Amino acid sequence: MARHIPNLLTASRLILAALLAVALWQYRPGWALLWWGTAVLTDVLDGWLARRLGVCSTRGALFDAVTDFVLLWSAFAVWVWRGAYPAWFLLLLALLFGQFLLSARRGWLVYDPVGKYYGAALYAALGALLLLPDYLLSYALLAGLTGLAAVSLASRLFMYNQ
Amino acid sequence: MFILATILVSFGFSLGVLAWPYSRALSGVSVGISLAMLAWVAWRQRTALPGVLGSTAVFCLLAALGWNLLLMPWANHEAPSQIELRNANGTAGAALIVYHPGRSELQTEAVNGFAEGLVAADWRVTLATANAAAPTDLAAYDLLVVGAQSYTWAPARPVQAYLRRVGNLGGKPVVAILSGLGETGPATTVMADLLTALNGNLLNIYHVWQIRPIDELYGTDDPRLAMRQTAVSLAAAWGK
Repeated sequence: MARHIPNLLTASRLILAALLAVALWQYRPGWALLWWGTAVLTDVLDGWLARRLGVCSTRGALFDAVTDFVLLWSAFAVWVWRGAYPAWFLLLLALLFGQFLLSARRGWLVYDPVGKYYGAALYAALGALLLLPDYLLSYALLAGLTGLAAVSLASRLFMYNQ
Repeated sequence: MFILATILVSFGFSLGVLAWPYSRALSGVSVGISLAMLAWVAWRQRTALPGVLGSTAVFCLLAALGWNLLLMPWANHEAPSQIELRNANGTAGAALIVYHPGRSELQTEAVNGFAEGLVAADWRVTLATANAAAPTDLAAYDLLVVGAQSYTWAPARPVQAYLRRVGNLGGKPVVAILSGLGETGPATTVMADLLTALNGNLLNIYHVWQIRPIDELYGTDDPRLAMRQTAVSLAAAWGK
Protein backbone atom coordinates (compact mmCIF):
# COMPACT_ATOMS: atom_id res chain seq x y z
CA MET A 1 0.00 0.00 0.00
CA ALA A 2 2.77 2.42 1.03
CA ARG A 3 4.39 2.14 -2.40
CA HIS A 4 1.30 3.70 -3.98
CA ILE A 5 1.32 6.80 -1.75
CA PRO A 6 3.60 8.88 -4.04
CA ASN A 7 1.31 8.25 -7.03
CA LEU A 8 -1.78 8.98 -4.94
CA LEU A 9 -0.24 12.28 -3.86
CA THR A 10 0.53 13.06 -7.48
CA ALA A 11 -3.02 12.13 -8.54
CA SER A 12 -4.46 14.37 -5.81
CA ARG A 13 -3.17 17.35 -7.82
CA LEU A 14 -5.79 16.65 -10.47
CA ILE A 15 -8.49 17.26 -7.86
CA LEU A 16 -6.55 20.26 -6.54
CA ALA A 17 -6.38 21.61 -10.10
CA ALA A 18 -10.19 21.66 -10.30
CA LEU A 19 -10.54 23.18 -6.82
CA LEU A 20 -7.94 25.84 -7.59
CA ALA A 21 -9.56 26.74 -10.91
CA VAL A 22 -12.95 27.18 -9.21
CA ALA A 23 -11.42 29.30 -6.41
CA LEU A 24 -9.66 31.48 -8.99
CA TRP A 25 -12.80 31.82 -11.08
CA GLN A 26 -14.83 32.91 -8.05
CA TYR A 27 -11.89 34.96 -6.73
CA ARG A 28 -11.58 33.33 -3.33
CA PRO A 29 -7.91 34.15 -2.61
CA GLY A 30 -7.88 32.32 0.74
CA TRP A 31 -9.15 29.06 -0.76
CA ALA A 32 -6.95 29.47 -3.83
CA LEU A 33 -3.89 29.89 -1.61
CA LEU A 34 -4.88 26.80 0.37
CA TRP A 35 -5.21 24.64 -2.77
CA TRP A 36 -2.04 26.15 -4.25
CA GLY A 37 -0.08 25.49 -1.03
CA THR A 38 -1.38 21.92 -0.84
CA ALA A 39 -0.39 21.34 -4.47
CA VAL A 40 3.14 22.65 -3.81
CA LEU A 41 3.37 20.39 -0.75
CA THR A 42 2.26 17.29 -2.69
CA ASP A 43 4.72 18.17 -5.46
CA VAL A 44 7.59 18.24 -2.95
CA LEU A 45 6.40 15.18 -1.00
CA ASP A 46 5.64 12.77 -3.86
CA GLY A 47 9.18 12.82 -5.24
CA TRP A 48 10.75 12.70 -1.79
CA LEU A 49 8.55 9.75 -0.73
CA ALA A 50 9.17 7.89 -3.99
CA ARG A 51 12.91 8.13 -3.36
CA ARG A 52 12.53 7.11 0.31
CA LEU A 53 10.38 4.10 -0.60
CA GLY A 54 12.54 3.16 -3.56
CA VAL A 55 9.63 3.28 -6.01
CA CYS A 56 10.95 5.91 -8.44
CA SER A 57 9.92 5.21 -12.04
CA THR A 58 9.88 6.99 -15.37
CA ARG A 59 6.13 6.59 -15.51
CA GLY A 60 5.76 8.18 -12.06
CA ALA A 61 7.97 11.11 -13.05
CA LEU A 62 5.95 11.60 -16.22
CA PHE A 63 2.67 11.44 -14.27
CA ASP A 64 4.11 14.07 -11.89
CA ALA A 65 4.87 16.38 -14.82
CA VAL A 66 1.42 15.81 -16.37
CA THR A 67 -0.44 16.70 -13.17
CA ASP A 68 1.74 19.80 -12.68
CA PHE A 69 0.93 20.85 -16.23
CA VAL A 70 -2.81 20.27 -15.77
CA LEU A 71 -2.88 22.29 -12.53
CA LEU A 72 -0.78 25.20 -13.79
CA TRP A 73 -2.34 25.34 -17.23
CA SER A 74 -5.90 25.34 -15.88
CA ALA A 75 -5.03 28.05 -13.33
CA PHE A 76 -3.55 30.32 -15.98
CA ALA A 77 -6.46 29.46 -18.30
CA VAL A 78 -8.82 31.06 -15.76
CA TRP A 79 -6.76 34.25 -15.84
CA VAL A 80 -6.63 34.16 -19.62
CA TRP A 81 -10.42 33.84 -19.65
CA ARG A 82 -10.63 36.85 -17.31
CA GLY A 83 -8.41 38.83 -19.69
CA ALA A 84 -5.45 39.15 -17.33
CA TYR A 85 -3.14 37.11 -19.54
CA PRO A 86 -2.97 36.74 -23.33
CA ALA A 87 -4.18 33.48 -24.88
CA TRP A 88 -0.82 32.87 -26.54
CA PHE A 89 0.64 32.27 -23.09
CA LEU A 90 -1.41 29.07 -22.82
CA LEU A 91 -0.12 27.98 -26.21
CA LEU A 92 3.43 28.69 -25.06
CA LEU A 93 2.92 26.53 -21.96
CA ALA A 94 1.45 23.75 -24.08
CA LEU A 95 4.38 23.99 -26.50
CA LEU A 96 6.88 23.78 -23.66
CA PHE A 97 5.13 20.77 -22.22
CA GLY A 98 4.93 19.12 -25.65
CA GLN A 99 8.67 19.65 -26.07
CA PHE A 100 9.28 18.13 -22.67
CA LEU A 101 7.16 15.07 -23.45
CA LEU A 102 8.82 14.57 -26.80
CA SER A 103 12.33 14.73 -25.41
CA ALA A 104 11.40 12.55 -22.42
CA ARG A 105 9.81 9.91 -24.66
CA ARG A 106 12.70 9.75 -27.09
CA GLY A 107 15.17 9.73 -24.23
CA TRP A 108 17.30 12.41 -25.91
CA LEU A 109 19.76 14.20 -23.78
CA VAL A 110 19.15 17.91 -24.05
CA TYR A 111 20.85 20.81 -22.37
CA ASP A 112 18.10 22.97 -20.94
CA PRO A 113 19.33 25.37 -18.23
CA VAL A 114 15.89 26.54 -17.12
CA GLY A 115 13.41 23.77 -18.05
CA LYS A 116 14.04 22.02 -14.76
CA TYR A 117 12.98 25.12 -12.86
CA TYR A 118 10.14 26.23 -15.12
CA GLY A 119 7.43 24.39 -13.20
CA ALA A 120 8.72 25.91 -9.95
CA ALA A 121 8.73 29.35 -11.59
CA LEU A 122 5.10 28.90 -12.66
CA TYR A 123 4.09 27.78 -9.17
CA ALA A 124 5.93 30.80 -7.70
CA ALA A 125 4.27 33.19 -10.16
CA LEU A 126 0.86 31.78 -9.34
CA GLY A 127 1.46 32.16 -5.59
CA ALA A 128 2.89 35.67 -6.00
CA LEU A 129 -0.16 36.88 -7.93
CA LEU A 130 -2.53 35.30 -5.42
CA LEU A 131 -0.78 37.21 -2.64
CA LEU A 132 -0.21 40.43 -4.59
CA PRO A 133 -2.87 40.88 -7.28
CA ASP A 134 -1.27 43.84 -9.05
CA TYR A 135 -1.14 44.65 -12.77
CA LEU A 136 2.55 45.52 -12.82
CA LEU A 137 3.52 42.31 -11.05
CA SER A 138 1.46 40.30 -13.55
CA TYR A 139 3.22 42.07 -16.45
CA ALA A 140 6.64 41.48 -14.85
CA LEU A 141 5.87 37.80 -14.29
CA LEU A 142 4.55 37.39 -17.82
CA ALA A 143 7.75 38.92 -19.21
CA GLY A 144 9.92 36.76 -16.96
CA LEU A 145 8.05 33.53 -17.70
CA THR A 146 8.05 34.22 -21.44
CA GLY A 147 11.80 34.93 -21.35
CA LEU A 148 12.48 31.70 -19.47
CA ALA A 149 10.25 29.77 -21.89
CA ALA A 150 12.14 31.24 -24.85
CA VAL A 151 15.49 30.18 -23.33
CA SER A 152 14.14 26.69 -22.63
CA LEU A 153 12.67 26.22 -26.12
CA ALA A 154 15.73 27.65 -27.85
CA SER A 155 18.12 25.44 -25.90
CA ARG A 156 16.09 22.32 -26.69
CA LEU A 157 15.74 23.18 -30.38
CA PHE A 158 19.45 23.91 -30.56
CA MET A 159 20.29 20.55 -29.03
CA TYR A 160 17.92 18.68 -31.38
CA ASN A 161 19.79 20.14 -34.32
CA GLN A 162 23.19 18.95 -33.10
CA MET B 1 19.84 23.13 -4.30
CA PHE B 2 21.67 26.42 -3.71
CA ILE B 3 20.44 27.73 -7.06
CA LEU B 4 16.88 27.14 -5.87
CA ALA B 5 17.72 28.78 -2.53
CA THR B 6 19.09 31.83 -4.36
CA ILE B 7 15.95 32.07 -6.49
CA LEU B 8 13.69 31.77 -3.43
CA VAL B 9 15.67 34.30 -1.39
CA SER B 10 15.71 36.80 -4.28
CA PHE B 11 12.02 36.28 -4.98
CA GLY B 12 11.19 36.61 -1.27
CA PHE B 13 13.10 39.87 -0.83
CA SER B 14 11.60 41.34 -4.03
CA LEU B 15 8.06 40.40 -3.01
CA GLY B 16 8.70 41.75 0.49
CA VAL B 17 9.59 45.18 -0.93
CA LEU B 18 6.67 45.09 -3.37
CA ALA B 19 4.16 44.06 -0.69
CA TRP B 20 5.18 46.78 1.79
CA PRO B 21 2.53 49.40 0.83
CA TYR B 22 -0.13 46.67 0.51
CA SER B 23 0.40 44.51 3.58
CA ARG B 24 3.10 44.99 6.21
CA ALA B 25 2.43 41.47 7.53
CA LEU B 26 2.87 39.87 4.12
CA SER B 27 6.01 41.89 3.54
CA GLY B 28 7.41 40.79 6.91
CA VAL B 29 6.60 37.12 6.27
CA SER B 30 8.18 37.26 2.82
CA VAL B 31 11.41 38.84 4.08
CA GLY B 32 11.36 36.49 7.10
CA ILE B 33 11.22 33.42 4.84
CA SER B 34 14.13 34.80 2.81
CA LEU B 35 16.20 35.32 5.97
CA ALA B 36 15.32 31.82 7.18
CA MET B 37 16.45 30.43 3.83
CA LEU B 38 19.75 32.32 4.15
CA ALA B 39 20.20 30.91 7.66
CA TRP B 40 19.57 27.43 6.25
CA VAL B 41 22.24 27.95 3.58
CA ALA B 42 24.70 29.18 6.25
CA TRP B 43 23.92 26.15 8.37
CA ARG B 44 24.25 23.62 5.52
CA GLN B 45 27.29 25.09 3.82
CA ARG B 46 28.77 28.33 5.10
CA THR B 47 31.07 28.69 2.08
CA ALA B 48 28.05 28.90 -0.25
CA LEU B 49 26.64 31.90 1.61
CA PRO B 50 28.69 34.64 -0.15
CA GLY B 51 27.65 33.23 -3.54
CA VAL B 52 23.96 33.13 -2.59
CA LEU B 53 24.13 36.65 -1.11
CA GLY B 54 25.97 38.02 -4.15
CA SER B 55 23.54 36.43 -6.63
CA THR B 56 20.59 37.66 -4.57
CA ALA B 57 21.97 41.21 -4.54
CA VAL B 58 22.48 41.14 -8.33
CA PHE B 59 18.98 39.76 -8.92
CA CYS B 60 17.34 42.32 -6.62
CA LEU B 61 19.31 45.16 -8.23
CA LEU B 62 18.30 44.05 -11.73
CA ALA B 63 14.68 43.59 -10.62
CA ALA B 64 14.61 47.08 -9.08
CA LEU B 65 16.17 48.63 -12.19
CA GLY B 66 13.80 46.77 -14.52
CA TRP B 67 10.80 47.67 -12.40
CA ASN B 68 11.58 51.37 -12.06
CA LEU B 69 13.27 52.09 -15.39
CA LEU B 70 11.23 49.87 -17.71
CA LEU B 71 7.98 48.62 -16.25
CA MET B 72 6.75 51.71 -14.37
CA PRO B 73 7.46 54.16 -17.25
CA TRP B 74 5.90 51.71 -19.75
CA ALA B 75 2.68 51.31 -17.75
CA ASN B 76 2.47 55.00 -16.85
CA HIS B 77 3.36 56.29 -20.30
CA GLU B 78 0.87 59.04 -21.16
CA ALA B 79 -1.60 58.03 -23.84
CA PRO B 80 -1.77 60.18 -27.02
CA SER B 81 -3.93 63.22 -26.65
CA GLN B 82 -7.54 62.43 -27.40
CA ILE B 83 -10.41 64.74 -26.50
CA GLU B 84 -13.88 63.67 -27.53
CA LEU B 85 -17.15 65.51 -27.00
CA ARG B 86 -20.28 63.40 -26.74
CA ASN B 87 -23.86 64.63 -26.79
CA ALA B 88 -22.82 68.26 -27.34
CA ASN B 89 -26.43 69.42 -26.93
CA GLY B 90 -26.99 67.65 -23.60
CA THR B 91 -28.84 69.79 -21.10
CA ALA B 92 -28.91 67.79 -17.85
CA GLY B 93 -25.30 68.58 -16.95
CA ALA B 94 -21.72 68.68 -18.17
CA ALA B 95 -19.08 66.17 -17.19
CA LEU B 96 -15.36 65.97 -17.87
CA ILE B 97 -13.90 62.46 -17.82
CA VAL B 98 -10.11 62.30 -17.66
CA TYR B 99 -8.53 58.86 -17.65
CA HIS B 100 -5.37 56.89 -18.23
CA PRO B 101 -6.17 53.85 -20.38
CA GLY B 102 -3.18 51.86 -19.15
CA ARG B 103 -2.10 48.60 -20.71
CA SER B 104 -5.36 46.68 -20.53
CA GLU B 105 -8.79 47.37 -21.96
CA LEU B 106 -10.50 47.45 -18.57
CA GLN B 107 -10.15 51.15 -17.74
CA THR B 108 -11.18 52.24 -21.25
CA GLU B 109 -14.23 49.98 -21.06
CA ALA B 110 -15.19 51.35 -17.65
CA VAL B 111 -14.93 55.06 -18.50
CA ASN B 112 -16.70 54.56 -21.82
CA GLY B 113 -19.53 52.81 -19.99
CA PHE B 114 -19.70 55.72 -17.54
CA ALA B 115 -19.77 58.20 -20.42
CA GLU B 116 -22.57 56.24 -22.13
CA GLY B 117 -24.60 56.30 -18.91
CA LEU B 118 -24.25 60.06 -18.57
CA VAL B 119 -25.11 60.59 -22.23
CA ALA B 120 -28.18 58.37 -21.76
CA ALA B 121 -29.22 60.79 -19.00
CA ASP B 122 -28.73 63.70 -21.45
CA TRP B 123 -25.43 64.95 -20.06
CA ARG B 124 -22.80 66.61 -22.23
CA VAL B 125 -19.64 64.56 -21.79
CA THR B 126 -16.03 65.43 -22.62
CA LEU B 127 -13.76 62.39 -22.60
CA ALA B 128 -10.01 63.05 -22.47
CA THR B 129 -6.87 61.04 -21.85
CA ALA B 130 -4.73 62.24 -18.97
CA ASN B 131 -1.91 64.30 -20.42
CA ALA B 132 -0.85 67.92 -20.81
CA ALA B 133 -3.61 68.58 -23.38
CA ALA B 134 -6.48 67.54 -21.07
CA PRO B 135 -8.65 70.51 -19.98
CA THR B 136 -7.64 71.96 -16.63
CA ASP B 137 -10.23 74.72 -16.45
CA LEU B 138 -13.17 73.01 -14.81
CA ALA B 139 -15.51 76.02 -14.70
CA ALA B 140 -17.63 74.69 -17.57
CA TYR B 141 -18.21 71.32 -15.95
CA ASP B 142 -20.58 70.18 -13.21
CA LEU B 143 -18.77 66.91 -12.57
CA LEU B 144 -15.20 65.67 -12.89
CA VAL B 145 -14.67 61.95 -13.40
CA VAL B 146 -11.14 60.57 -13.13
CA GLY B 147 -10.28 57.04 -14.21
CA ALA B 148 -7.03 55.27 -13.41
CA GLN B 149 -5.54 51.81 -13.37
CA SER B 150 -3.97 50.83 -10.07
CA TYR B 151 -0.25 50.13 -10.45
CA THR B 152 1.69 48.91 -7.43
CA TRP B 153 -1.07 50.06 -5.07
CA ALA B 154 -1.38 53.62 -6.41
CA PRO B 155 -3.46 55.23 -9.17
CA ALA B 156 -1.67 55.61 -12.50
CA ARG B 157 0.77 58.52 -12.40
CA PRO B 158 -0.64 60.48 -15.40
CA VAL B 159 -3.97 60.87 -13.55
CA GLN B 160 -2.26 62.00 -10.36
CA ALA B 161 -0.15 64.43 -12.41
CA TYR B 162 -3.26 65.75 -14.15
CA LEU B 163 -5.02 66.41 -10.83
CA ARG B 164 -1.95 68.25 -9.53
CA ARG B 165 -1.91 70.36 -12.71
CA VAL B 166 -5.53 71.33 -12.07
CA GLY B 167 -4.63 72.24 -8.50
CA ASN B 168 -7.43 73.49 -6.30
CA LEU B 169 -10.64 71.74 -7.34
CA GLY B 170 -12.67 74.37 -5.50
CA GLY B 171 -15.22 71.92 -4.13
CA LYS B 172 -16.02 70.48 -7.57
CA PRO B 173 -17.96 67.17 -7.38
CA VAL B 174 -15.57 64.35 -8.32
CA VAL B 175 -16.06 60.67 -9.06
CA ALA B 176 -13.14 58.26 -9.44
CA ILE B 177 -13.09 54.94 -11.29
CA LEU B 178 -10.23 52.69 -10.26
CA SER B 179 -9.39 49.53 -12.12
CA GLY B 180 -7.03 46.87 -10.87
CA LEU B 181 -5.97 43.30 -11.36
CA GLY B 182 -7.69 42.12 -8.19
CA GLU B 183 -7.12 44.76 -5.54
CA THR B 184 -7.66 48.52 -5.51
CA GLY B 185 -7.86 49.17 -1.75
CA PRO B 186 -4.53 50.98 -1.25
CA ALA B 187 -5.00 52.97 -4.50
CA THR B 188 -8.41 54.08 -3.19
CA THR B 189 -6.75 55.60 -0.13
CA VAL B 190 -4.15 57.40 -2.28
CA MET B 191 -6.84 58.75 -4.63
CA ALA B 192 -9.15 59.84 -1.79
CA ASP B 193 -6.28 61.59 0.02
CA LEU B 194 -5.21 63.39 -3.16
CA LEU B 195 -8.73 64.55 -4.04
CA THR B 196 -9.36 65.70 -0.48
CA ALA B 197 -6.03 67.56 -0.40
CA LEU B 198 -6.99 69.32 -3.65
CA ASN B 199 -10.30 70.41 -2.15
CA GLY B 200 -12.44 68.18 -4.33
CA ASN B 201 -15.94 67.09 -3.31
CA LEU B 202 -15.46 63.32 -3.60
CA LEU B 203 -18.83 61.73 -4.34
CA ASN B 204 -17.67 58.15 -4.77
CA ILE B 205 -14.87 55.87 -5.88
CA TYR B 206 -15.96 52.94 -8.06
CA HIS B 207 -13.93 49.79 -8.60
CA VAL B 208 -13.61 47.34 -11.46
CA TRP B 209 -11.23 44.39 -11.44
CA GLN B 210 -9.69 42.10 -14.01
CA ILE B 211 -9.53 38.75 -12.17
CA ARG B 212 -12.15 39.49 -9.54
CA PRO B 213 -15.86 39.36 -10.37
CA ILE B 214 -17.76 42.62 -9.91
CA ASP B 215 -21.30 41.24 -10.07
CA GLU B 216 -21.68 41.37 -6.28
CA LEU B 217 -21.12 45.14 -6.45
CA TYR B 218 -23.01 46.01 -9.62
CA GLY B 219 -25.25 43.05 -10.46
CA THR B 220 -23.29 42.38 -13.65
CA ASP B 221 -19.80 41.12 -14.45
CA ASP B 222 -19.50 43.39 -17.49
CA PRO B 223 -17.46 46.49 -16.45
CA ARG B 224 -18.86 48.64 -19.24
CA LEU B 225 -22.46 47.83 -18.38
CA ALA B 226 -21.75 48.17 -14.65
CA MET B 227 -20.33 51.68 -15.08
CA ARG B 228 -23.11 52.63 -17.49
CA GLN B 229 -25.74 51.67 -14.88
CA THR B 230 -23.76 53.45 -12.17
CA ALA B 231 -23.63 56.66 -14.20
CA VAL B 232 -27.38 56.46 -14.94
CA SER B 233 -28.07 56.11 -11.20
CA LEU B 234 -25.73 58.98 -10.38
CA ALA B 235 -27.37 61.21 -12.98
CA ALA B 236 -30.84 60.32 -11.68
CA ALA B 237 -29.85 61.30 -8.15
CA TRP B 238 -28.04 64.46 -9.27
CA GLY B 239 -29.19 67.57 -7.48
CA LYS B 240 -31.58 65.71 -5.21
